Amino acid sequence: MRRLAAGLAVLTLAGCAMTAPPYTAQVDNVIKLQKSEAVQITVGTMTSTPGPSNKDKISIRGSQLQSPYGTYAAYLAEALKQELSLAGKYAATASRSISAELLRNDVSAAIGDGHGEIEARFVVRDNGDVRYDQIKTAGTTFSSPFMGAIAIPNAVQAYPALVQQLLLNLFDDPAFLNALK
Amino acid sequence: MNLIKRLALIAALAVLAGCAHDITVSPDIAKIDRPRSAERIDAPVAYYIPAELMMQKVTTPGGGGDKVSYTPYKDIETAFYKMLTNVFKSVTKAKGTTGADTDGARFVIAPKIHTNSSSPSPFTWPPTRFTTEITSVITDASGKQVTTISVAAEGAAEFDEFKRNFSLSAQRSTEAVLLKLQDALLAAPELRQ
Repeated sequence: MRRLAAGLAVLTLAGCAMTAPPYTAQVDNVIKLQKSEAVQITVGTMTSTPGPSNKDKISIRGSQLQSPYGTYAAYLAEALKQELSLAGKYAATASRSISAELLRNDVSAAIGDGHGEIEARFVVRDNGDVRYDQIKTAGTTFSSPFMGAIAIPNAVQAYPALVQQLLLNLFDDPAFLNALK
Repeated sequence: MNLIKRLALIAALAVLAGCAHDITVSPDIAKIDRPRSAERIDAPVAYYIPAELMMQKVTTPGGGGDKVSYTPYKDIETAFYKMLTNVFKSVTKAKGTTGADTDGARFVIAPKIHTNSSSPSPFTWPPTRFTTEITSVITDASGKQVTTISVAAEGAAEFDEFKRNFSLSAQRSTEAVLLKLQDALLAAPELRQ
């Protein structure tokens, strides 16, 4: 009976389309922005360069992990907007903008080796003038046992933390905070 | 949902009987809104959650003899912060409850969270009922207690709702409790003196 249940469980998860958890801003990031001398900022164009490590449907043991915002570029846009909004620094019509190009975006739940990686090029502009243009990366690891019913949810839960880490790395860059002044 | 899919989903939820399943109790922060008529309290505040509580993992019952595990303080921190920004004009994070650790705050709010969960289902593990109680001890910068506010709220979710979100009852509970706490803070006369 247990074997049957396990089989059904595997069938349930295999080939399924799952949705990544919505992004939740991180208070440490928000306070960092709040205490900076950043002016009001909008979130500009977010794009994604397709590649083997940058897909809009991340494959996790045969299941597809999709963005709750349509694309992962839109996920990054939502993440930035949340952080800026909670810090009181977001204004949709501001002349200063942050744009990004997603270069890598992947989560893998190989047996015994769960990891995620994300890389994006961030550009800060003011009325079209580039004030900052750098690539930031982040990585994460998580428990990924043989049992997919444990490994797959772990991989799904790892995604928002991966994006939080990417933004933490961005906000830790003095050149970035300087470009927001 | 057809019968085979339903059976398969129940099997997926039942296969790890006896385990503790990780869930997140973070509410949707977009729903932590300030009532339009509410006037913010003009006082800088800080909240203090010790590092050991931020990392604390709590395990409570689910269905079918299983359990659920989560990090309540870490999970609700952002929504708690947003709720405080709805109530007070300036909010920061304190390193302690007195002196320089309070970062110039007039009040320091230290929340204690108590949770519980349950499910009558013998086959599926996600909780159908989840309760959250938050007791907030509010002190001034010298450490003198100003007031204590306790609120509790329950969240409920049935199988057809939580099949896409196993944390749903918990998230409904934490959303409701934070909105109750917001109302209580806005109504506390001690914080407007």
